[in-house]
Amino acid sequence: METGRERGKLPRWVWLLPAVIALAAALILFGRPRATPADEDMVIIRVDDREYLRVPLSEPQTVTIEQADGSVNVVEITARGAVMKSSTCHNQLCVHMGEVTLDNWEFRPNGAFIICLPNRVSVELAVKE
Amino acid sequence: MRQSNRVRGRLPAILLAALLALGMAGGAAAEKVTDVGFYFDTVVTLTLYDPADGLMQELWSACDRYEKLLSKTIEGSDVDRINRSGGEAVPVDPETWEILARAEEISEASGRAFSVTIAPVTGLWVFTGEEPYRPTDEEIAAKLPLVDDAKLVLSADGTVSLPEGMEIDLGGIAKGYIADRIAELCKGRVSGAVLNFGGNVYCVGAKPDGSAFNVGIRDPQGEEFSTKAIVTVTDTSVVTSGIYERYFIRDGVWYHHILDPKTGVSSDSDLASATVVCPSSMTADAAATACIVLGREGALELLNRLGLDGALITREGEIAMTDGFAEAYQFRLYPQ
Repeated sequence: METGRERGKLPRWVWLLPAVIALAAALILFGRPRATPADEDMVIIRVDDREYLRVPLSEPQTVTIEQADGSVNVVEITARGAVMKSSTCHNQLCVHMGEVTLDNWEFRPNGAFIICLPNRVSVELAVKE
Repeated sequence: MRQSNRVRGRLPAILLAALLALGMAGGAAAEKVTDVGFYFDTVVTLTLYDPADGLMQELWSACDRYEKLLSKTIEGSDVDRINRSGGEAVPVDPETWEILARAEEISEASGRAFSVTIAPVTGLWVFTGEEPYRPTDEEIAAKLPLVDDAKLVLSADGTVSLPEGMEIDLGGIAKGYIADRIAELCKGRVSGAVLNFGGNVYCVGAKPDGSAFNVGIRDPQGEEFSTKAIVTVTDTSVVTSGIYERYFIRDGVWYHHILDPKTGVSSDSDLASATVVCPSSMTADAAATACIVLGREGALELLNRLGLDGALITREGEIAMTDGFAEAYQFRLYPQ
């Protein structure tokens, strides 16, 4: 049963409101729950139409893809993107596609992809949006 | 009274949950799904935002079906059956008929700069692989009489007739048609999509932030796959044909895969690339190819006559555009 004194006083939890609102705002601005492949930008390498490997940009490394037919592609992954360092393909177009980076993926003729058609290898910079 | 007190006691928790839910919902990013497939002698990359369940698989199934229907090299395809018909009328899928009808329209409108009956000549050339081949003038001369789109007969009963010895190849238009159909399957079932069929790009809807998509146009003179310019589009296709796509150099001559149907040899016009923006990727596909053959002046005349928007890049790197193109698509050079 409430007394007159209790009615005139704000409940204690009211003081939590600003903190809760601030937390919700922070979630809206920064804490986006993502359904994209992962919670960070990464490089996805596919051979044929199957995923071969995915590497977060936070883990720079060089990946060598050796296939049963003897073809070899070497992908260098850096903190900002990826580049096809070498390929055994006959036309070397993938090597000349340059680097796909966080800065240029949206404006490249091939978008976020580097493609080696003869070896059926694709490299995608999967960027959070 | 007891019930009321219980609710009141839980009010802070309810309020907290509601606010957190609001925060989560308000900040939810688009679900971005990408995939790669190998079809039509090229790489297809599909990027879907907020796709409906099962859509990606549905799109690949459609690509598979169209390849089996339209490929020149798959036995039993409509194109294969037409090419082996020996002059007999062949019943074809209504979609094949539709593509051939549009091909004939573009062929005629372009003064036969675009041709689907160029297949016998195309078959002489080898642009890919380790041993490219430039056929002799005699070989080309022997096949040129078989290049004549006017002899392709499309009958109202849904059949197609082609004189014996002639062949068709839909390589210059089929990818555009398929891009149109795939885009159609996406509409209403994604918040946005970028569908790239090896040079035919179809953008559906918008990016997660609501803005239009940027499509890079390759610099034909660039040593690497550098970007010359950018167009910003939504719900339309951007198709670029270029002399840099499949080529080889022999005795100092640049031979590329866009053949002039009148000569059977790589087009030697002043254009290095042609970009056409149009909601019909099929039309853009065929028109872009015709533009390369026609050259700058002829291409501009064709695009304006067909009511199409486009940007042309000459072999010297100059850019020519149809009227209003730059404003309509925020065309800008890159780097900006």
